[in-house]
Amino acid sequence: MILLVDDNKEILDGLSFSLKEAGYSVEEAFNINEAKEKYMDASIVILDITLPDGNGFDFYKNYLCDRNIPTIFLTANDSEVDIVKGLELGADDYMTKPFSTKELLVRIKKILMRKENNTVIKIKDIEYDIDKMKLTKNGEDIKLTSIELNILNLLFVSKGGIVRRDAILDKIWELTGNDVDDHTLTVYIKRLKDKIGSDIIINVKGLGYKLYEENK
Amino acid sequence: MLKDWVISYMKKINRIIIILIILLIPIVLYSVYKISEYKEYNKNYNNKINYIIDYVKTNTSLSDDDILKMINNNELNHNLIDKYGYNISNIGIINNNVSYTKYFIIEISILLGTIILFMAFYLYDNYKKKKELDDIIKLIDNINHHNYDTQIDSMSEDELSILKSEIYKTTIMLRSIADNSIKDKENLKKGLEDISHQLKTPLTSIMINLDNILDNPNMDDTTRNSFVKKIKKETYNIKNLVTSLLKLSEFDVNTIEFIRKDIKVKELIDESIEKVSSLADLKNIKINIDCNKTDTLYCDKMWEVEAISNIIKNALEHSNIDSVIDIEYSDNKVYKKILIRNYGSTISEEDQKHLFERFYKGSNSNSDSVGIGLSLSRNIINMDNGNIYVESGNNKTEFIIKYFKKI
Repeated sequence: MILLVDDNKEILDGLSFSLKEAGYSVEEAFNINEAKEKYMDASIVILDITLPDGNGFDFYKNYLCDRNIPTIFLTANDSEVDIVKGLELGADDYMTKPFSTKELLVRIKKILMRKENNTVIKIKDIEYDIDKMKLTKNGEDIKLTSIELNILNLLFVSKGGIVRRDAILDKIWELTGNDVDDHTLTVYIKRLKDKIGSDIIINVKGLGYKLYEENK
Repeated sequence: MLKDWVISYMKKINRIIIILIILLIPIVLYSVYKISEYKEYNKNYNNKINYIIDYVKTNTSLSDDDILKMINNNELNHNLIDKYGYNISNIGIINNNVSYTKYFIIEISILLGTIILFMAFYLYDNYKKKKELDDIIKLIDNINHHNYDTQIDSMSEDELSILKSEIYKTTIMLRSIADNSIKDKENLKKGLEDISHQLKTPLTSIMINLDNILDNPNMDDTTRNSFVKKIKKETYNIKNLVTSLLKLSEFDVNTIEFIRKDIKVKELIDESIEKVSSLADLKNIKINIDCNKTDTLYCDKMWEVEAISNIIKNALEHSNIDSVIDIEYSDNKVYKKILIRNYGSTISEEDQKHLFERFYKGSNSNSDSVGIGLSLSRNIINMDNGNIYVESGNNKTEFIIKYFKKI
């Protein structure tokens, strides 16, 4: 169960919707009082820092830290980020507003994998560490360019589903500020496949791409 | 510091010496005069006694022995002068009239002279003090009218000189605080105006696209999706804008705290490149780095990386596809230099002039970029005691950053 703590109803509704769509069970809390009653069963807490009845950091320190419940802070500005880093949670456990739900979902996935001490996804003879963003084949690093790595990451993060071509184009725009045409995308995918060698990227005609899956 | 103390101490001594000299002159003169007066009176008395002795010797039969006894006589048996009705205190048995007048005149002259000398000294002193006070008043007046170009006269008397210099310092400081606070307010106002203006563009685009979608429920999916994607893009633009503008505003009101350390230049460059690696990848641009592994720069790493990556991003945006970017580091006694060179369209003279201005978009810039990156970079570099300029020509552009060493 994921506990969402934020005093803004729009954000709460939006996030709740995406998380449920992604298959998680979700609980909502508008303030610290409500959060105090619901956090016990949470496997992850998404915690806004500025809440009407107190400070998110205090709530974390007093309730979540000792129980080792992974928390993702939602921060509005850099100074709050510094405090989070100061709490020595590791730089990944915060998101600065505004953020996209996709980013949040990826973060959640990473945290859950980290919790199992298993951030490496294996397909055939390929291993990809989602946390470190490293690709290895038979123990050897495969070097990818920045865009190739991000496309691959997108595929692994969405493992089990299909990544639409649109989504990849979007990602490239996010990273570079430039629009890339369809043909260029095809070239990127081909180059990626060539570098990987093994056949793990599957073309889903008319839709996009997905990763090879064992049990068919 | 010691030197200043010695100088002011010597000035005090100077003053005391002058006063002592002014005192000494009349004292010396007076002593000399008094001594010579005494000598003259003495001479007169001795002469008179001589005349008396001579007369006695010539006109009486007293022996030499008796005359000696007479000279040494201390008894007053008859007191003839009193008997003849003369007052012994007043009578001038000895003719000292001429001498007396002469000496009286000299004595009065010396007295008057001394008084005049002292008064002159006092008036001069006062005059100088008044002049200094006037100077101070004029100084403050100048500063109030923004004329900071004044020299402090260091040749004058001590306390006032110190006062003058302290007033000068305080007034300048107050003035500059007042000026800065007005400037801060103006900057803030302009900053807010800029933000509001810049936000209106993407917001307008969003509203138009939303209206299109809502007004046309029967629109086909592809068209609707393309509008929605446009809206998404514009929200990202707003997000980037807000982040950049916040950073710039922090600079405007000087609220940023830089945490400076010695950072390896190679590390700075590598991290800056990492931030824009996707763009470099997209245009297939190879970045060459020429810098050794040990050179360091004393700066705030996070901000400096922000600054340098913005410049590299700019270089990438104006590069041709499949070209290279050179980043070179060099070092001399005066400054440390980072040079970023790209090959692509030349930046026009006109653009070069305004390149680092906020919101300035060059003639061939990306339409989604807002023109803040280079302005922010320049602010950051200036804070780290450096400056940046651009040279462009023959389809080659160089950004040159120089960090000046403290001498």
